[in-house]
This record gives sequence, structure tokens and C-alpha cells, in this order.
Amino acid sequence: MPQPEFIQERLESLNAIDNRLLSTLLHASQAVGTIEELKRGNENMKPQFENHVRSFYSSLEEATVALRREIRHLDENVGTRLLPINVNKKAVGQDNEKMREQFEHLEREAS
Amino acid sequence: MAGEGPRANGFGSDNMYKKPLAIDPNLIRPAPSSASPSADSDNEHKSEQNQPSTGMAQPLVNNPYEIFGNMPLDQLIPLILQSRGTGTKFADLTEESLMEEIIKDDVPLSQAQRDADGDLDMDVSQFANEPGQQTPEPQQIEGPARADEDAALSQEKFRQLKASTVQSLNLAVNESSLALEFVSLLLSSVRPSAANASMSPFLKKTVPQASLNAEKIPFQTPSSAEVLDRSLIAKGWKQRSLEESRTLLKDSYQALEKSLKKEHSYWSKVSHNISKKDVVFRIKDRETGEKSLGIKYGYEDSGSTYTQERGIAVLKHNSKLDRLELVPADRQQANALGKDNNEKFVRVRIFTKIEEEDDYILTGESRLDELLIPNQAAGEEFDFRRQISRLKFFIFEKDLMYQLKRESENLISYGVSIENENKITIEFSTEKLELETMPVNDDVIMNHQQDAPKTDDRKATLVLIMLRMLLVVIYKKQLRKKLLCPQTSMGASVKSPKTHKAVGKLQDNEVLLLRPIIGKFKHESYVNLLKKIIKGFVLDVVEDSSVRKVSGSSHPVTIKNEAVYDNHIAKLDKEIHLFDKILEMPRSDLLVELPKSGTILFVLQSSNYCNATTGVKYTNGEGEILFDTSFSNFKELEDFLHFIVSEYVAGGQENGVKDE
Repeated sequence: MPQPEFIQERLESLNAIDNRLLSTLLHASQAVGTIEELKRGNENMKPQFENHVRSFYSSLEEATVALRREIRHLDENVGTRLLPINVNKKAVGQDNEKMREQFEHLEREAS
Repeated sequence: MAGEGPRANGFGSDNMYKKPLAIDPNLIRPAPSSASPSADSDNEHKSEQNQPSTGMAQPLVNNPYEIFGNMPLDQLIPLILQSRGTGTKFADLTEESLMEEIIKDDVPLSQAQRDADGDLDMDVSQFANEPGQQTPEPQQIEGPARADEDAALSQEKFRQLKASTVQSLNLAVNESSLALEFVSLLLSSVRPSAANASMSPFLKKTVPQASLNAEKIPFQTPSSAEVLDRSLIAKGWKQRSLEESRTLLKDSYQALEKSLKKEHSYWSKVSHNISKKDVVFRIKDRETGEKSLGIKYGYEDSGSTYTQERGIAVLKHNSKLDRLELVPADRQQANALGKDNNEKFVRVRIFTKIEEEDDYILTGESRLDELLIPNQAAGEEFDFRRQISRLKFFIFEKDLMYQLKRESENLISYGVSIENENKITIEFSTEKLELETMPVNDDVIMNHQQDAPKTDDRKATLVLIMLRMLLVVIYKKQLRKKLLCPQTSMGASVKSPKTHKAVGKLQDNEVLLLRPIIGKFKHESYVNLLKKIIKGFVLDVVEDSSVRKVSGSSHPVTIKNEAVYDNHIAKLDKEIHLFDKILEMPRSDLLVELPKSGTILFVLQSSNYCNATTGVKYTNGEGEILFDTSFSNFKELEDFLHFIVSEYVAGGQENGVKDE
């Protein structure tokens, strides 16, 4: 009984955002690493440093943009697909479920 | 005035050649004499000091002497004429007359020359040869009104400059004397006498001698190796902190990556295992304090009033087994309290009485639910659904037992007894029903599986199923009540069940689980008893009489016709009415037909399922109702029957009765 496709999609894109935020951390560490090399006098690292900084910013930007989009999705779907956050879902219908189950038992016993 | 020194020097050297210096030796004279009557060197010194404060040589620019030098002739000539007094003509000025004048002034000129360099002397002599028109000027320069303006202006400036010079001088003197004081004080510790001489009285008074000391510390210029060392260390520190911050970032990246992986698999599992029907909400895990997801499995929203378990489970990710687990919120507390195994189910057993021995023998046991039997073959998804189902199952069973016990409290007089917390027994004439909550453990399940099927197994199972269905009906009634009057039910749900019961004597609130079932059993035996009595007291006595069961006058099913039902309530009503047949009080109508003497109608019914009242209605042959009464005691019924038969039913049979 998996969740509907839309929900799955949202979860996946949230996962992607997670990964992106994670990669900013990686890029940051790489940038610091290259700056260290640069300080050591290794001038060849300059383009690399640039690359790392660029990818740091780009991943950060992508993450924020994607996150904003998800928030928009959330806003749009409250009230249609989702219950408002302050409304609690009720576990209704369990009585019918039980009844149906018992009828099944009864049928089996009666047959 | 400040720039005077250099100007004066320049005057002496370069400018002299271009400018007609000789024009005013008298002017030169007063300037140096007033500013520096002392030697040349002194003059220079002062000028050096003053220069920064007073800027460029303003005064000399305004010096009329210099102005003359730059003047075009057409201006200069009238000036010269003016200075020579009125009436003189430029044409009258001759070289000879000028020479004479110069010679006359020879004495003052030579004085001026002495003040300046030797060069001046030569210059003057050189100039002397030049057109002498300017030479006579100096003498008259003070006199004429024309020169007055310029002179006054320069004097004002001069005074200013003088004041500032004096100020600067004072400053210098002050500072140098301070330095002297300092040095002499410093010296006083080593050479007191020499220091004493140069110390000012003020210093002597205020500061004790030899109170200032100094030591000579050699200044060590750091060696190049040291400089290198230091810069290396500084660089090393920076490198190291960079390195550390890099590893810090990297470590946290790796740690986060791991937890993200976990998180992602958790969410994918959640999304795969949880359907729209499940009620999922945010909850704080009490054990770990983490934010987590909770699942509601209790029947609270479906009408249950069971409050001893919250019916909430925390959705946890078991990272070891990589699967989702449900931990009921109550179980955490129960575990903390040392209570174990919350999983209990209701079992129904039927014992049959052995007539001879006055003992019971187990003849039936309800079937185990599949959920109780371990199922290893199932996949993960199924496993999770199964966890939810099990939780729902167990809480329902607990609710069932709870309600059964509540109902049993009032049924002691009908053979229902609560033996202990987990067991209720109901005794009938020939058999005994045992309702027991059993903890789920391997022994119970194994025993059950190994037991041979018994004759009453099915009956026991059906009883159990019926009990469960009836509980659901109770739920539905509760729901309907909540929908019909939300306010009261809201208030009532907060109150304890007991007060609830006392407040409203509504039928909806009653627990109707055991009684319908007991009623059915009991009624059956009552009917049998009644039949026996009828046979003994009527059929055997009256010839040709017969008994038959008649369908009782249609039971008045009171359907409340409240038109304001909304869909949900109508649906609930419909569902509840399905069970009316089961829940209605048992009733049997037996009609005894007596040939020629009318009929006797027996109505066996119950006011509370368990008891029995028998209504007897005797109609004689003419259609007159002679008796219409009811008995709750079968003994009295027997006597009454005997009376009717002997008194009213044909006298011919009286003999037969007497024979009996």
C-alpha cells in the first residue's frame, strides 16, 4: 500500500535537497583544502579552488531554490491533497474494518 | 618674516643678478637687523625652525623692493619720480648726479654690505655701474606716502610672524630645558654634583635626587634565522587551522551522509508501507527524545471508549535489521515499570458438564486468529502491515475484555462470575463458558495447534466472533451518539464510565455483549423447560391437545424517525439495525390448542435477556379471554396450569388428572 506517486515524488525531491545540502558541506571542505594548498604555495590549485567555491555556491543555490519549490508545493496542496496542519486526522473506519474481518471469520466458520 | 633667511640668502646669490638689488639697501638693513641681530648661522637656524610653521615667504613677496624689480618701466618711472620729490623730471636724472648721490651714501651702504655676504659687495659695485636710476630710492623710501601702505601691511604681518617665532622659540626653550632636566635627573644618581648644577630649583624641590635610573639594554636585532622561524611558525599555525577546519567539514559531511542514508531509507519505507488510511502524526519519542512519527492504532476515533491504552505507536527505524518497527507508546512505559508482554487475546472455552461426576470436561475452544501465529515467510511490507494489524488486534481484545468485565459485574445472579482479572466464567445448566485473556506466548499457541479438534470448537469460535461484532456495534452506537449530541458526548467522554452510566440511562450506553448471547442460551433452555411443563401439565392431561410455535406478534421495532439525520448517522443507523435481530430480547410464543376448550398462549420472554417471564393467556372455546397473566417462576406456572386444566378444560378429563 504505497503512497501515491505525488507523495513519492515529493519525498524524492526532498531527498535530493538533502543530498545537495550535504554536498555544500563537501564543497566547503574541498575549498578549504585547496586554499590550504594555495597557502602552501601551490599556485596550480587556483582554478581548482575557484571550481570548488563555485560548486559550493551553486549547490547551495540549487538547494534553496528546490526547497522553496517544495514549500510552494506544500502550500498549494494544503486543503486539497493534505489536511491543514492544525487538523488532526482521525482513525475512523476501524470499526468497519473489524466488522468486515469478523464477517469473514463468520463466513469461514459457517461454510 | 619666516622665509627671510633663505630669501636673504637667495638675494645674496642668484636673484641679485637679475634684480636691481641696489635699489634699496636701506630696506635690507632693517629686516635682518630686527629679525636677527646675531650671526648668520643663528639666522639660518631660526629660519629652519620657523619655516614649517609659517609656510612660504609671504612677506618678501610684498616687499616693495621686489615689486619694483618686476615693475614695467612705465610704472616704475613715475614711482621714481615720486620718490625723488615733486618737480623732478626723469630726464634730469643723469648718471653723474646719481653717482654723486651714491658716493654720498657710501657710508651706509658699506654697513649693509657688512651684514650680508661678500658677494653683495661685488654686486653692489656691479650694480653701481648699471643705470643708476634706482640707487637714490632708498633714502626716500620711508618718506613718501606711497611706500607707507606697503610698509604698514608688512609690519602687521611682521608682528604676527614675530609673535609666532617667539612662541616657537619659547616652546623650543621649554622643551630643551625639559630634556635638560630629564638628563640631569638621570645623571643625578651617578654624578650628583654635576647633576645638581643643572637641575632647576623646581625639580630639586619636587623630585628627590637619584630617583630616576636607567640601564642600558642592548637592542638585539633578530637574526635572519629567528625571523624565518617566526614567520614559519605563524604560517604553520594558519596551515594547521585550515587543515583542521577542512577535516572538521569533511567529518561532519561523512557523518551527515550516513544519517541521511538512514533517513532516506526510513522515508522510503514509510512511504511504501503506510497507506492513506493510516493515521500518522508527529510525536516525540519519549525514549530518545527525538522527533518521530506516530501511528494511531487505537479504536478511539472509531467509537471505542477504552482509555487504558492510548493506542499510539511510535514508528521507529531499526537500523540493524533495516526495517520499520512499531513501538506502542504505552509499552515503553510498561517496560519501564517491569511489566512485560502486553499482547493478550480473548479465548473462549466451552466445558460440558458430566452428569454423573458433577464435573466439567473441555469440549470446545475458540480458534486462534491468524495474527497470533508467527508467520516467517512474509515479506517486509507484509511484516509491517502485520505489526499494525497485531496492534489493532490486541487493543481490540483488551477493550473487549474490559467491556466484558464491566458487563459481568451486574450479572452475578445469572451465573456470571469474574474469577480473576483475566477470566470470566458463565455457568449454564449443562455447560460452562469461560472467557479468558491469554498472554501470547509460544506455549499457548503450540498447545492450541496440537490439540485435537473438539465438538464445540465451532460454537466457541462463533461466540467469540459474536462478541467482537457486538463490540463493534457498541462502537457504532457511541459514534452515533457523538454525532447526534456532540456536546454531551464530549463532556461524557471526559468523565469516567461510571458517572457516564449514571447520567444517561440511554440504551446506547449499555454494554451489550454477554447478555444477548447468554440470553440466547438461557432462552433455549427456558423454552425446553416450558415445553416440558406444557407437556407434563397439559398435553399429557388433555387428549388431542397439541402445541405449536407461533411467530410472536411482530416485535415493535422502534425506529426513531428523526428526519435530521445526515448521511453518516443514517449509515450508522442502518448498520446498527442490522444487529437488532441479535440484540432484541428473546421471545418465544407457544400456542397450545385444546380441542373444544379454546387455547392457551404462552409467551416466554425476558426483560433483561437473562431472566424469564412467561405470560399465559387462556382463551376458552367461546373466544373469551379468561386469564391473562404472567409468571416469573416456573413452579407457580405449573400450579396455575394445573388449576386451569382442572377447572376449565373439559370436565371429562378430570378423571385423568385425578389418575395422575
